Amino acid sequence: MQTSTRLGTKAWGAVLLTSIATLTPLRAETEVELLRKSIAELEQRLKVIERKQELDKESADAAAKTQPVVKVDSSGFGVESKDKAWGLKIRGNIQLDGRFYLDDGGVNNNDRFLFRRIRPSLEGTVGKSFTFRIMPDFAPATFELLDAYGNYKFSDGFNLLFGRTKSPAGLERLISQTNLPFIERGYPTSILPNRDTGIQLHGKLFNGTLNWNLSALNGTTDGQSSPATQLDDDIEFAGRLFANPFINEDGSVLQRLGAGVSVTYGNQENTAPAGYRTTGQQTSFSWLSDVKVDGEVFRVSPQAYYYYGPFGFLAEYAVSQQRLVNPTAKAQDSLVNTAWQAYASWVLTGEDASYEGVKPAEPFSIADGKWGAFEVVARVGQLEIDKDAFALDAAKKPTLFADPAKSARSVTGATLGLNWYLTRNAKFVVNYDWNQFDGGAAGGKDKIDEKAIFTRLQLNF
Amino acid sequence: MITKYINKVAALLLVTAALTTSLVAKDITLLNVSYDPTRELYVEFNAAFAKQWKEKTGDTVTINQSHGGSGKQARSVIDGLQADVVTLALAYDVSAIADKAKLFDKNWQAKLPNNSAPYTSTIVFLVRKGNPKAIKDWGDLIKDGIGIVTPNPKTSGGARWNYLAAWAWAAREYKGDEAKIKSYLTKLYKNVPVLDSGARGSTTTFVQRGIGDVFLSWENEAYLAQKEFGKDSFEIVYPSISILAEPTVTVVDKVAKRRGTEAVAKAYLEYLYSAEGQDIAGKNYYRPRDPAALKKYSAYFPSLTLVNIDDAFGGWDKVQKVHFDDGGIFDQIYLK
Repeated sequence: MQTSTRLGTKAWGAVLLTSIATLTPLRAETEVELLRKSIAELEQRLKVIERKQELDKESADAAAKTQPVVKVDSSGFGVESKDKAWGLKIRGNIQLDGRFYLDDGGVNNNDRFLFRRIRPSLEGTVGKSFTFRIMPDFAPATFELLDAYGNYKFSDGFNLLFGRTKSPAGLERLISQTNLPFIERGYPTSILPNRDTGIQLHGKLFNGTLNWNLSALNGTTDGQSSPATQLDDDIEFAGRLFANPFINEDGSVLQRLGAGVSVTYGNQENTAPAGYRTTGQQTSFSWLSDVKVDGEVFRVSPQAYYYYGPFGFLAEYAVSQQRLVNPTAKAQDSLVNTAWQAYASWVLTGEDASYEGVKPAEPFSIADGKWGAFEVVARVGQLEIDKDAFALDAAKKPTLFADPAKSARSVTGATLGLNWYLTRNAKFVVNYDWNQFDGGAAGGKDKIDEKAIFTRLQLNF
Repeated sequence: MITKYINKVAALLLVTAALTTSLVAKDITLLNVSYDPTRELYVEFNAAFAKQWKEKTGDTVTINQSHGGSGKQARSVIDGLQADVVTLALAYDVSAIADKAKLFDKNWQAKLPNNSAPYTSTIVFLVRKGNPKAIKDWGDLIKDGIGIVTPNPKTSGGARWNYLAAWAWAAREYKGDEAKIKSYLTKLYKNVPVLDSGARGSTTTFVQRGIGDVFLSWENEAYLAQKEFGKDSFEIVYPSISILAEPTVTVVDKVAKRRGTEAVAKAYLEYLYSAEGQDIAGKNYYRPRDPAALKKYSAYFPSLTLVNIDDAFGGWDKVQKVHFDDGGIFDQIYLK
């Protein structure tokens, strides 16, 4: 019995062992298969996650390509489309001047601080080829719309500008207000037109070596902007050619040599001419109240500049011929006034001098011991009024167009200046102006010399 | 006096404009805005067209290509992309440009033969070598564990053809029972792990990233994948039914007129119908309209039952409104 039981137990054990031996590989195979399947599924999920991340990045990159870019930097505040075809920029310039006259005989209200310019501007690009600018001025006394124009660029060589901006006549006139080397512009600028309304065709030809401009404008008197309301029915034409023949020759000492000539021609009818100011902003010459411009007005201005390293030189000459009438004196004549100036500049800190201003290499920072850039400038110039503007002998003949006891026949001046460019956006300037007059005082005497110290704090962006 | 000056200024402007125009370079550029998988087709076709145009006129024409999901491409043109011609995946996307941007006539399809569809294609299955999931027809796609790769019908023309081909099978299978058809498509899209924006993106997902078991693909794109990655890697499965896909082309008249490219743009599209154009289409696995070219490449194009968008769905306007507009059936089933 016991033997039988023992045999039975052994038999069951053998069966069990056989079963286990048979089943174990099967179970292992199944588990491996399941594991493989799980791994494959996990691998797929991982790939899907990675692909989704990849697609998200592609979408983000694609979106970034079309997102507009907000720009806040030294050239202003703006926003523009990624392809730069659309954009809007807000810029501004504030100038606070101090004017202090020396030996002026105690003239009241001469010495003062004043806002010379407060000019916000809105500039934009509308489509790739069309740009615009609107710039008012809130100083020195009243609001004035200075620039309001659109420009369509057909090519680098051919642009159409319409609206109001600077007439193309003067070399110094075309320097941006923020980059002027002196606080006030020189004498040629005072007899060439300022801003005017009309159409300007312009461009750069021959790989930028020749700038051209041909304009049809309302016309304006010497040194002035045209009024909002046109003075007469006539158009004034202005043209300018200015060559930078070596501009593409990197390293050439003549690379930044430029020279050209501008011309304006038109008619004016019964228009009151403006007087002329010194570089110290005092009236040196004024026309008699009855005098009008009535007839042809012709101006021509040869001009040139040269910049090399920290040194700069600019010279221009201007002639303005205008037909004047004085009904009271029964006089009419074509008078020719002339002006010239030459100035030199030297950036003491070694940055390049240029027509577009000085960019300090190291902005002013007390913490870093940086001082920005310093530039010294010197200018000489002269304004000469046609002698026929005055009666030769005031005792025998009535004055013709100007009173020699009040208006100087010529003024010759010199300016010394120091420009401290703290940053690209801040500048402190001090000028010493000296002007000597020929005539302009009672009894045939000369007006007393003008000596003035001008200062300017400028913030522009 | 002022009239005299104005006349002078006007004359000056005209002379200057004429001079400027005469100085425009002889080289001509065209922009062909196309859908995703046509890159290779148009690379070859553009070279052939430029060669014959040079021989014919002496002018050098350079054709720039832009590719993306068909719907996205149409949107880009509507938003201002300066396309001289569009060659998109489906007529609805081309019509959208006419409707929304008014850049050419609404009857644009009548301007070229075959409703302005110079070649056709269809939707097939690209599966991994050996077809491990045994996918043979549309019904197999909704089985558990099947990963389907197809682009987003909202942005891709090919994806809309995929969706409609699946719908056509389900309509036949369930005898038009819309509830069952929708249920089928819901299950199908539950098996889609990634929605690319265009067909080429889906090719990348399936072929290069190794995602999914089946890629609902343009026939030409499937052959291209096989050509590039080898028949060892992928197989093409022709389902029991699919859809006749008719990519369409047209000149973007207003852009071409403004750019002075009308003649060359028109000739460019007409050349698609020429013997050489049709041969290039066939060589790139698009089904040519020309019987001779179709016969030459017939080995690539087995005959199968194809439904027509107009007959089976009532045309693109209806399809778009019912299926793909916001809140349409696709949104209903995909967002479930």
